[in-house]
Amino acid sequence: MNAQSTNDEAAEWAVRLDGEPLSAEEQRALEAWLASAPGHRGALVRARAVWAAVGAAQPAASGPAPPVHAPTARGRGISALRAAAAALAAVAVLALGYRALELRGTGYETGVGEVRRIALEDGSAITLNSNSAARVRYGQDARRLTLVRGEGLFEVAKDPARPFIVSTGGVAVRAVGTAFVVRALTDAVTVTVTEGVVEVTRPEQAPRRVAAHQRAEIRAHREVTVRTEEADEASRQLSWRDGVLSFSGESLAEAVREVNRYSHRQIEVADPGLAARPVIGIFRAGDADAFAQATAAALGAETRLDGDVIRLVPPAGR
Amino acid sequence: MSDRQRLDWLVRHIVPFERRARGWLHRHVRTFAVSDADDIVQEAYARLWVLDLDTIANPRGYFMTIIRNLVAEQARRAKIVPMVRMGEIESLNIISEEPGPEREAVAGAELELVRQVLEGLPPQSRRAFELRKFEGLTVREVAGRLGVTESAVEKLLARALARLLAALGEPGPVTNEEAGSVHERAIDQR
Repeated sequence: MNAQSTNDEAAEWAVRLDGEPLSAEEQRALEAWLASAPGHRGALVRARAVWAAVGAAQPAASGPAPPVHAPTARGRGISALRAAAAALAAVAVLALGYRALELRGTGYETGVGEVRRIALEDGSAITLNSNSAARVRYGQDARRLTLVRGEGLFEVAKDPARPFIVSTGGVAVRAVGTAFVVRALTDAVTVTVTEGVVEVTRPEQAPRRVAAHQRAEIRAHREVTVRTEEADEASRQLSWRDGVLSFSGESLAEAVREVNRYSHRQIEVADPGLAARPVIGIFRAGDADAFAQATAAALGAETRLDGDVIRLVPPAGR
Repeated sequence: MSDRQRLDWLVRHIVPFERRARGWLHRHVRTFAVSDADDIVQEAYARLWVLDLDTIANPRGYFMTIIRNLVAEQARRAKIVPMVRMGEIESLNIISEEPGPEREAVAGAELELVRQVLEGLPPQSRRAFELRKFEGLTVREVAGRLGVTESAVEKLLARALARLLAALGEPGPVTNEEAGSVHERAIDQR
């Protein structure tokens, strides 16, 4: 992006917006300009703010609300996962609270705060997230894996003769195409596909196909729902592989739940108003202190250390 | 919250602080090898714009948090291992929200910058700016005063604003406060 020409154009629109209401034609031109580059919305907000900041005079009555809507950054950028996936299929399964009774095969597990990658004989690999366990059974006709607890990313080497099947919580996820992500929560399994196609199967139900940038949610006694995801979302959900947790507007309560998975020191948020506030940021997994302090500062809250618990509370005197 | 109120909020909390934020970014962007500070600052404005600004207790801290997160996102996409712990609040060595000598000094520096930019403008652009912003004339009135079209006045004003945007886009000087050891700084300064 050419910063100077962006600034010049933003300046023209900022001046224009501070005058008579836009004509329909101007409105369309503004929309088109805003849509033409991801930085334009922010450039216009900044230009309008600086324009408003200089000079003592009150600007004339403002026109209709300018179309400065949601930021667009998340739609940008390449997915690190997709770039790395190449000929592999990737399956991440998260089964919080779920304990599969599976004793056959070879077992692997991780402790709290530990992330471990295990290379398998066929070129596939498992990356186990904090406090997780999986078992692996390779047979002649299929490669079967069970997520016993926690969350795993399964990178699958292609082998059409032996399908790669991950089971957890009564759900089987079968690699069909090239790359996908599966994620399961306490009472639901979600399957997010980054590339290619997967098949999600439950007993006595037809397999459900999930395609790239789609996410399927599977709950007991309910229909499988499939919706389209943003491309970046899957790779963001896998940021734990790099030892970081990434949030882009989840509630503080959700973020804390995630942070607590990686840490013996636990964070608590009792205040419902505070718990509902959105969190944006990237944090090192396992560093609950840093997360607590960062969010406290960003949300105007305070931290109280109480034994092995960090309490996030609204500021005193409010 | 109306656009007017949003702009007022940005004027009060963010615009006077932007150059210092850029100063921080300038030093850290080199560390991260991230593309463009302008992109990050613009995106930070865009993200603020859609928030419920009234609920932000520490606007500068929040702005810096957004900026730091944008840097982290870029670093992650570029597969660069960040050199700092992401949870650190080093960016929050921000001047107090209370009015005080330091804050006034910063505001004074911005005023001086604006003055310099205005002095460097072509005479007609400067005249249009002064009539519009200092005397509060409408664009039409300025056009009548200068004997040009309204469209021409808008061009003159836009040129002045573009110069201001460019000047404010230069990273601000590092203050003694920022130069100190940020890692040892207490987290909660409020």
